Amino acid sequence: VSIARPLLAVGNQFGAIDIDGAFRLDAAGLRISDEISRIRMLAPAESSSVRENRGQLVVNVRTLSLLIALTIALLLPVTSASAEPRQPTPKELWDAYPLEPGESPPVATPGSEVEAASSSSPNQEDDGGIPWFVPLMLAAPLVVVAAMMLTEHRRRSATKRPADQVVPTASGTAHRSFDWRDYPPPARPAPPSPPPVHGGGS
Amino acid sequence: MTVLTRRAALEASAVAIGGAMVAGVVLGEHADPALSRPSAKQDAEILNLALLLEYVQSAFYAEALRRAALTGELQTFAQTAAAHETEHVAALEHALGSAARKAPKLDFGDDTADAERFSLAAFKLEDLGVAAYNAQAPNLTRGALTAAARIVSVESRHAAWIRDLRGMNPAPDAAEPAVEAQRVIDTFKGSGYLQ
Repeated sequence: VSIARPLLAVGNQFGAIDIDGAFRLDAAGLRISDEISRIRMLAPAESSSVRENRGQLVVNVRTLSLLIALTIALLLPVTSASAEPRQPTPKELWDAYPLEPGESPPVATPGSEVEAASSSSPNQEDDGGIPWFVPLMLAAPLVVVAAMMLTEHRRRSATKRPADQVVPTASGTAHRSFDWRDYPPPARPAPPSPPPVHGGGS
Repeated sequence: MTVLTRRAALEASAVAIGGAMVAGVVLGEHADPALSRPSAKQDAEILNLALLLEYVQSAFYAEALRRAALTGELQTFAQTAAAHETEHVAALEHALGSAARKAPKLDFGDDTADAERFSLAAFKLEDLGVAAYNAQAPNLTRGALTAAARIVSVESRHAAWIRDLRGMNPAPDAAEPAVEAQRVIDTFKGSGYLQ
């Protein structure tokens, strides 16, 4: 199933980049198709970083990049915090002493049920925190989309094509995804010369 | 004159933020608590911590001798250790003078109720005492370190003795395992003896 309508528009100082059909759903699942290259230039963007354009939300590339960077920055502390082992409480330290977390008892004490009960590691239970990979899974798609947008933006900027050079099609609604120009007709070989006329008449 | 474009500023900010985050994570993982240089004031703070530990040990043995109906070598150990801890308290109070802290309110719960609970708690207290002195040794001045060394060696003998009485290896390591000072304090607090 192809999603053919525009999904997102990203603006810059030259205008707005409209990305068509960025995603395609097929039997293998959701994947980013080659149609992301169908980018067209719209009218010059307004000075604001976020604006409405024909019902689409147009966001400046820099603003979008900043938002993505802030999102990642907010997610990273959560990731590092969830990756840190839980600190045992003083009571747990005392009960487990002199064992370090995960250490085995040094010597079994004959008839010492109290010590055997206290030798369990206090860090073996899960504290129910967010797994470390969840924020990464949330951030990864944002990074991929941002990288693709920036790549396309830089590629389009390198061509330095003004926004008003988009050639409309005959229908006036569809847009071509390549630079159209009129090509000269292909060169044809000269027609063979007519056969010589012999006899000079009759 | 160098012109800083918005793009350059944005990229520089992103690099700076990323660098700061990486540096924060790395330094946060490996930073050690700052220790000031040994001084008389720091000696007093550390020796007061040692005094607190000695107060607890002294009172613990005294209560156990009254309450736990100790017999045999365990009773001999408790009597010997109690006398030593009382001397340690007196020595530290003398060294600290007016800076010495007051004796805390203590509650040993059922750890002095019978021989088994007493020996387990005594083993932990003596081991922790050795760890506490060793953890603070680098922060003491030379004179205080000399006095502390004479106490900690006796504490380690207590620890070996009670380990032996409990059927444990009296000297399991060639070198005493290093325990962070804060971990020693936290573990000591976990006993619940301090009120």
